[in-house]
Amino acid sequence: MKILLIEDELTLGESIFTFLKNEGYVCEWVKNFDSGNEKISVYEYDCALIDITLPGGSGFDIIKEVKRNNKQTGIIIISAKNSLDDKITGLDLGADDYLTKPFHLAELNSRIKSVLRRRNFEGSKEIAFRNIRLIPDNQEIFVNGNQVSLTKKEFSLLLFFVSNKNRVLTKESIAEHLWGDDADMIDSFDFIYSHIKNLRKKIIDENGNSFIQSIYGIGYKFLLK
Amino acid sequence: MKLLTKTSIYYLIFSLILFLIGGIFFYMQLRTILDEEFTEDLYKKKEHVEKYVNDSAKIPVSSDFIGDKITVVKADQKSTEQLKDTVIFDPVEKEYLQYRQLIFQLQIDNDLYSITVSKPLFESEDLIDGIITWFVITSIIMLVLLFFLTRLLSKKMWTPFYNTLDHLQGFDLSNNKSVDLSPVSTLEFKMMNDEIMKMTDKVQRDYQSLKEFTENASHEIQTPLSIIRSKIEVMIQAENLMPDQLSSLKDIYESTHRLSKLNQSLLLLAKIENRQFPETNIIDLKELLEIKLNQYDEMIGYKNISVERNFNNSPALKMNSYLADILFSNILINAIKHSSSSGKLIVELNNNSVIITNSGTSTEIPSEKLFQRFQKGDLSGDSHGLGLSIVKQICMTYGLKIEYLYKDGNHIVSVNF
Repeated sequence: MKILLIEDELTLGESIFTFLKNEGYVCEWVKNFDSGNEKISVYEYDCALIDITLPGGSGFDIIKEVKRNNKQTGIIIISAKNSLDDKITGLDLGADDYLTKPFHLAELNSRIKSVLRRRNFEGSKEIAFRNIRLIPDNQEIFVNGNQVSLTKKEFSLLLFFVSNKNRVLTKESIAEHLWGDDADMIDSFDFIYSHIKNLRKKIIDENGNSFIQSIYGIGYKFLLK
Repeated sequence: MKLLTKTSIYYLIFSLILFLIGGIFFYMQLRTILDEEFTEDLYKKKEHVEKYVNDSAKIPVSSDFIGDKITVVKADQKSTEQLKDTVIFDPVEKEYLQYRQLIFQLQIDNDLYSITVSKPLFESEDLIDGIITWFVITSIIMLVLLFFLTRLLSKKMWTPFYNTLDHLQGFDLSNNKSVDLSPVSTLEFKMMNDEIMKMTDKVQRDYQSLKEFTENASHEIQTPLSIIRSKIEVMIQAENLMPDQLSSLKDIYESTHRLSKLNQSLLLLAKIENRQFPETNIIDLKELLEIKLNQYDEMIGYKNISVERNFNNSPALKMNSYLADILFSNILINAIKHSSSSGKLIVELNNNSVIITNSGTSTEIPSEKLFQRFQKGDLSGDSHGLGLSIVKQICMTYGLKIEYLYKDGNHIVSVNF
């Protein structure tokens, strides 16, 4: 998987870049408008992460360039401009997703995977591990071949875990993934706890093996060795 | 009240008072003059009679013709001359009429005669009536003419002022257009227009730079925050962290998270204050509230709150859809948050109000401070105390009236429009 990161903020770019490389992506990182525009029109990428405010131009123009060249590159806008207009403009131009800084790297990872899945770059629309099979499009899960019924939130939570396997996910990032802007509502951590409890129960029921581990006060980790 | 109406009313009041005072003065003056004239006339008559008696040595005959009367009677004893007003019956008019009499005595051939000269006063009354009537009619005509004339003049004089006012009313900070006033000839208005143009230009520039500042400041704050956050996310992946290290990381992480949320809320508040959400839509409140209640179904179920929907009406509001969403989200989340477990949430929708009632214990914040910034109901919670000030700000933007009341164990928040 080839990913292009266009981000002018050095430290943030650095951490995204390292993160993506550790995730096993081939990642290229450029820091301004001109080189971003050049890279994206010359090479093929599976996904591009584009900041809107860039030295030398606007990220929107890069999206236009991608669409003008009929590239199949998936586009995720990453921007600190938490304005509705930017979001709408970006999505109207054909971006697949929009992430507002500050975001969780796990959330970014999950969004990238979702974009790649939607664009069918991973070959299959199915995720399989051990004896579990997930079909994200239909929101179906099979454990040992038997279908298990999960609520929408539980499924979304499981998918988030699967996209970020072997990684500590903070409660905040999980809450934001599940509830978005409403994540700061009351007791969202309690909800997460009860969802995870249910998830464990449902998967253990079928399998006898729980994958979700609590990490002291911080969050949870989906273990898959 | 309009300036023109006000000037007209003042003008009317003052000219009426002036005309009234002038009229009374005129009337009294007229009366005095006529009065003196009448008395003088009577004395003149007396002189005539005396001259007649002196010249002819005859007793004057009584005459009772139309108008002046002269009565001559023999007097028994001497008396002083006397001037008085009296009434005499008029056989033609069949009523008593006012007369002024001068009674004096004359010695003719050793006989004492008392002579009464009477002059009807009604003539003067008629005269005064006539004069006053015409005076009033002329006054009214003059008043009306002057009234319209001043109105016309005022209107013409104040036209540049109203033009300026029109421009100012159309002035909107958020659509970066400066006020362009046409030149006027009146010095004062010209000065006013110049000052207004200078002022609005400055306000516009300040507003622009403030807008840019809030956006940029937020941008600049968010980026380091997201760096801190992502670095911690990377750090906690390490397998060999000690529990106290993990605990510190957790605290840093949580504080960063809160700081980030606070920053976002402050930015939103600033943007609402700066009216940076100009697009409006027609919002169906029934639909919106239904969506929001469904969205919070999980929370409501978790706290075992029973929801009562009293949708008596289906009003629509013209406002920005994003702000409408935030407004009712914040009120509902607040209600759910401060609702007691197994409590009750009543959402009432009327033709011109939304009333959200939830059971719960009373807060320590006085209700008038509830909508101020950084007021928190519970000090321990994650809330940053900006939710309700955002609500208040949105309401102010759209001229909605928000009220809070604690009554019989219920928190009642109503939005009136």
